[in-house]
Amino acid sequence: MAERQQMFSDSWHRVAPERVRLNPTVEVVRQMFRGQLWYLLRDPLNNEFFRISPAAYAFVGRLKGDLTVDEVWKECLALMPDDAPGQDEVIQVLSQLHRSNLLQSNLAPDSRQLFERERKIKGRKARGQAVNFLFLNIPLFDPDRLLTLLRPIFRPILSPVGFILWLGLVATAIWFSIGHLDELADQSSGVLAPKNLFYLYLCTVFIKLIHEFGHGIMCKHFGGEVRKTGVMLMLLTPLPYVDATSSWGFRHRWQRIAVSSAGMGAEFLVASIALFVWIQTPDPFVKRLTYNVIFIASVSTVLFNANPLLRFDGYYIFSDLFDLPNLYQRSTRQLKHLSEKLLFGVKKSFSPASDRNEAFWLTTYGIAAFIYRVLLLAFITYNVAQGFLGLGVAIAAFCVFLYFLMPIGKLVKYLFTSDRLERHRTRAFAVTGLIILLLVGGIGFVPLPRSFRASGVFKPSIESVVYSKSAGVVDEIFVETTTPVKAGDPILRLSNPELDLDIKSATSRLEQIATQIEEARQNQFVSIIGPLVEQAKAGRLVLEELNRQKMDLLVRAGIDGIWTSPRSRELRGTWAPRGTELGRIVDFSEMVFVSAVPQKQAGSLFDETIQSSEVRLLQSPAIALAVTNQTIVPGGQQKLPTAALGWLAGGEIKTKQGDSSGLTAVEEFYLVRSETAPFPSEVSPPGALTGQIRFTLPPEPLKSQWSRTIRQLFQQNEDS
Amino acid sequence: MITPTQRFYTAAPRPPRKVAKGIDRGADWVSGAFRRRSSTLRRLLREAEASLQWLEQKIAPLSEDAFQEKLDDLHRRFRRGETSSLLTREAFAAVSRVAQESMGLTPYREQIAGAMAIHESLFAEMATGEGKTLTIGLAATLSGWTGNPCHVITANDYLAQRDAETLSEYFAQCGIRAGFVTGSMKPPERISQHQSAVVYTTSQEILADFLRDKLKLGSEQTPQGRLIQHLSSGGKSSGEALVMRGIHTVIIDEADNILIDEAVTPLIISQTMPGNSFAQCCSIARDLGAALETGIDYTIDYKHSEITLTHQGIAAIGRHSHRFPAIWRSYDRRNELVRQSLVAEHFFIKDKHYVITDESKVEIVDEFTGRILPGRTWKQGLHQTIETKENIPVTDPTETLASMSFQRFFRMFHSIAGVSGTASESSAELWRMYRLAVVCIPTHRPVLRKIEKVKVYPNEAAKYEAVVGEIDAMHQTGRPVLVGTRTVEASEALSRQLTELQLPHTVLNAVRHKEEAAIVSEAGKRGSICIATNMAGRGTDIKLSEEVLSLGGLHVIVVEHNLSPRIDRQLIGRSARQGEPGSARYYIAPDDELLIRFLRPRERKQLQQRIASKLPGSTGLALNACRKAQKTAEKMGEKQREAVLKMDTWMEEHLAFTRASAR
Repeated sequence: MAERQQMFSDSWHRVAPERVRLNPTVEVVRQMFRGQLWYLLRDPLNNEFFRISPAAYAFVGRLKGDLTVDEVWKECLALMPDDAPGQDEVIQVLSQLHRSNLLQSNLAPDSRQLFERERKIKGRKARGQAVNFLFLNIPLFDPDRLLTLLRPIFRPILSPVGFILWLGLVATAIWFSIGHLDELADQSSGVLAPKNLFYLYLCTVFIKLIHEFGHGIMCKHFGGEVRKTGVMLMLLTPLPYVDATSSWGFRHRWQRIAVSSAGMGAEFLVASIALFVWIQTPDPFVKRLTYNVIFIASVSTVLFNANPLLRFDGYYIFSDLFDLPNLYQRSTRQLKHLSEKLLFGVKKSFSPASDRNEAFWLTTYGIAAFIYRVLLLAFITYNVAQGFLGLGVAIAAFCVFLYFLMPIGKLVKYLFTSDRLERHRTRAFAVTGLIILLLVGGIGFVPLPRSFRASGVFKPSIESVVYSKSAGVVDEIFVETTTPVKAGDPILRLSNPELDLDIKSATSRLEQIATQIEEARQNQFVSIIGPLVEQAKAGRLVLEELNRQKMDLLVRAGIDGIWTSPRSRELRGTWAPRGTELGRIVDFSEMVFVSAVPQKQAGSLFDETIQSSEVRLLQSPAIALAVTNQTIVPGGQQKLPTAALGWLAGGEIKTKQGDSSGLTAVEEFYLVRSETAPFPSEVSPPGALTGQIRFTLPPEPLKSQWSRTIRQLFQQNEDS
Repeated sequence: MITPTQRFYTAAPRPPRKVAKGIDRGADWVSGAFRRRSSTLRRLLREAEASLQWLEQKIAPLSEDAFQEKLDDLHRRFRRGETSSLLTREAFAAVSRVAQESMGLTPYREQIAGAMAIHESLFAEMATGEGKTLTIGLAATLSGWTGNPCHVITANDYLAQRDAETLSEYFAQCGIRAGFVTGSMKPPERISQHQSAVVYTTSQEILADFLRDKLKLGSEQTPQGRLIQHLSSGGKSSGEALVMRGIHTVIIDEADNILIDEAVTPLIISQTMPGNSFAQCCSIARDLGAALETGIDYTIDYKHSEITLTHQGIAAIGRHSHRFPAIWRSYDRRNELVRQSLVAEHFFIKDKHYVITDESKVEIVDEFTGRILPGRTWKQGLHQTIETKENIPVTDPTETLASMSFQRFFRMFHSIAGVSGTASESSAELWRMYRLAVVCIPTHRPVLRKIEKVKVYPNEAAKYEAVVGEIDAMHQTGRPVLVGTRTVEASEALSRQLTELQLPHTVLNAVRHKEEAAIVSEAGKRGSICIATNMAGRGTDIKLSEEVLSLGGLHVIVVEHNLSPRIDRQLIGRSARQGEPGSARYYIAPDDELLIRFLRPRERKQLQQRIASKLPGSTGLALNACRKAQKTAEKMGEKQREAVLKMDTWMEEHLAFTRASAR
């Protein structure tokens, strides 16, 4: 599919009489890509690489400085009439070699040109760094001698036996970690807690140091050179790095893959050791440190390093594994080619891919990497902006410049001036205009659904607390907890021997009074009959009261519902003073979802009409419960409906640090009570009925949605 | 005797300055506009006035001996590199006296202002007939005095020789020698001529000499290396055989033509490669091409002059290839050969793009000027393909040894100045590419040219009929007529029509360029009719007699608009020179090549209908269409020149290891 070159070139006379050759220091390596042979030229002085085709190498390799370029070319032509490179191709290759300082000429070099070139290369590097400002490199020193010294130590480790041992260790660690999965998951919420951040960073530096030296040692092991190590400002965080790019010159791709994955391999090793320590140690500080190490070496490594969409280790492993050299650059070129060919109708556009399969990979990768990059940057910018507005705005401005204005500038320049579009400019303008129109129209005018979420918990709308109406020892519980009861059903019985005694004594007292009244009647002590009768009356009242109390010892359900008493087992045999909460009868047929809407979303809550909303439970996220009726509790709240929503219990809402109940939120929030459709049968209350509610707002074009988000971001920062 | 260090400086071309890109381009444009501002012209005219006063008051009264001493003193001061406005004023006053004495011509204010503009490395736009030869001579003297090589570029060999000879007495009195280099000169003569302080030559000759010298230098390309070689080998150096003294100052006459129109045509030094079986290849390619069918086997893109082979076409060629020599085995090569043969067949037209000389040789015609470019050949077999097409003996293909575009070459001078009758249309480009600011020097006397109403005809035949009618009518009155055509073909066709009517006329076109000057000087006679391709006889005055002037002077008919408005202006500029009366008229037909090539088919069709309907306003419409087409053509030309510049810059950067890019 490659572009066909003309055999003869107008500019041939420029190079024809020169006697040039490759610099004697240049190293040549054969590499296979997709079953095709390539020659890789490497300049050991600056670690620059240059890949040329066998046909071009057949020519370049013949340059010895004794024959002129023209003579060598004619020799090639005589030897391989079909495969010899055309004159244009020769000029291209020679110019590129010259630009990479790989070419030696019999003419004195033009020093002005050399300086000019150096200035250009420096400028390009600086621009490259500026563009990649989130991943800035600052080289510090040359670790080659150190690694050479270490090489014998690591030689036995970097062997098949070593690999099997490593595999065993990591496998064991994974096995153990599965056993401790709950514990591991529990501690995860603490990783990003403010007081842990410093330790987290320390551990990251430690792990990345090992990671990078993993690359370096592996590279050294296969005979490469490692000449640079330094500090990389990744997302403005200083981290160590080691330059192992000389491994690109390795002949076998498995060696290259080994170097690329050595970093992660080393990390996994450290993580495994840390895991064993973490399981064993009782010391909370050591536990925290080791946990950090495990967390970084597993989660962050998998998310970042192993991800081929970012240009870290995963990218190089991926590109070697699937034989896609220069994946990033070529996928960009492939996308450009596709748009030229399909959108602009340029017939003379050629794909950088050598076959259909590769074309597919390049296209897919190009699109995926682009989307991923934009999303990642948006995510980073948004999060930074929430913390530091100024910095966020700066990064956002830079991103807008880099990913929006600069490409637009380039596009405009390309559309107006590219020679490739010479005959297709009208169409190119039309298509680009149409795409821009569609984009602007789409963003500015096509309403898109939008919604926001809040976490909350289901609470029964009717709930009766069952108290002990009279004091007593819990004697017998008739109803198991979480069993439905009807109003009037006995639930439990208390026994109170004292009460029985009181009743007995009250009865006896009444009997005594009755006897005294009888006596007085017979003795005609009219004067004392009156008070005695009064006493008897009072005594009866006491007895009545006592009897009522006795009746109350048998606790009955006040309403229909489900008896829940989480402590019912402990209750049995214990003394329950009057007014003790014994349990609750909850009417689960009428539940209400109480959600806490944070302040930043309150605006949408109050100013806009909520079209519909639905609730999903954490325990059954597949089922959406439609909301039938909704009320917003006016006025901000600070007390959470349940601790499950707060930070302390792993929820989303920040709670005050001093509050051990975990119920007091840092920021005010608004409560929304939503009545939902009944639960499906498989959801069994009363479990943990926490979930999320999604409020669907009227659809709005993306433009308004984005501007609202940005406005909120600013407001929020003003408030805080 | 030139000292080695002198050689070092004089022979070192300046590395071409970078042309501004991107945002800088805007800033560059502003600085150009500032340099061109009207006060520059006012200052020049003031200075010229002052210089004339100086001549009158200080120089004229000097005795012969005192004046000679004055000249020697000025010469010395210039050689020392002194510069000041007073020195310039005095120098121009002095050389004006020399001009007076040697040629009997007193330069007038505008000429001195023009010379001062040249001295300041500006582009002086001076109307035809304003005495540019003297103006350039005055300025060249000052440059010649400095000791740096000064080249004056003229439009052709004839003019180079004529100017150098006319002014030789003047230069001799100024104490310097003027030489000229023409195409027919042999190297020894060239060397001696190039030793002169001021060298009159053509752009082709100077660039050819420059490139040949470069080839001779071999691996000692840099001036530093050359100096070391020269000093270390005891004065022996390959540089001894060099033809030129190097390049430093250049004054270009008709500079817009050289710096813009011809800028991208590269000059090529080549040698023939004998014993090549190319002739056979070309005839096979032609036969194969003839067997293919338009639209099925290949498609033709007329706007961009391109032929594309279709799959059928490629397959058809492949079917036959096994019968032919080895070169036909190569897929790319054979398709290229056939394609080229088709290009030659469809896009290269005899008497328009090339002519066949009496010696059965194909000579290329410059499409812009209609002139033959002697000795130039098309590359990569195209020339041979065309020779095959015309059934004349096929020459051996040539191998390029060196090539350079004029654009790049003239950017390498330390100091460049231009003179032309028409430049303001291209002032932005002249500034961007060459750092030349155009200054319009006013004419000495007011222009009396009458431009008559444009005539518009629905087709070429009707137009020619009207042109012939007008020529006839003018001829009856006795006024001389100059008819400008775009192509040799058109001039021949018109000539045939006039012959039929038995109107006596002369034809001045690329085929008969040897007689140019003589014919042009005759063209001003009473009743003479001269048909010329658009720039034939440039640089030669059409002198008019008193009788002709009383009849109304020369009448110029522009048969069709040229690709550039500058060339139109040049053509009509041949009438009404130096305050004489004269007139000019343009003709337009929708099938003029300008409109065919640069107007959209739909627009052209509308124009055609409008003209055919004879509704009022069609003239204006046609004129607008012409202007629009000219603008498009200019833009395309500019883009082409930018592309050449880009290519040159690329080569310079990427092929710095070659001697071709070394300086």
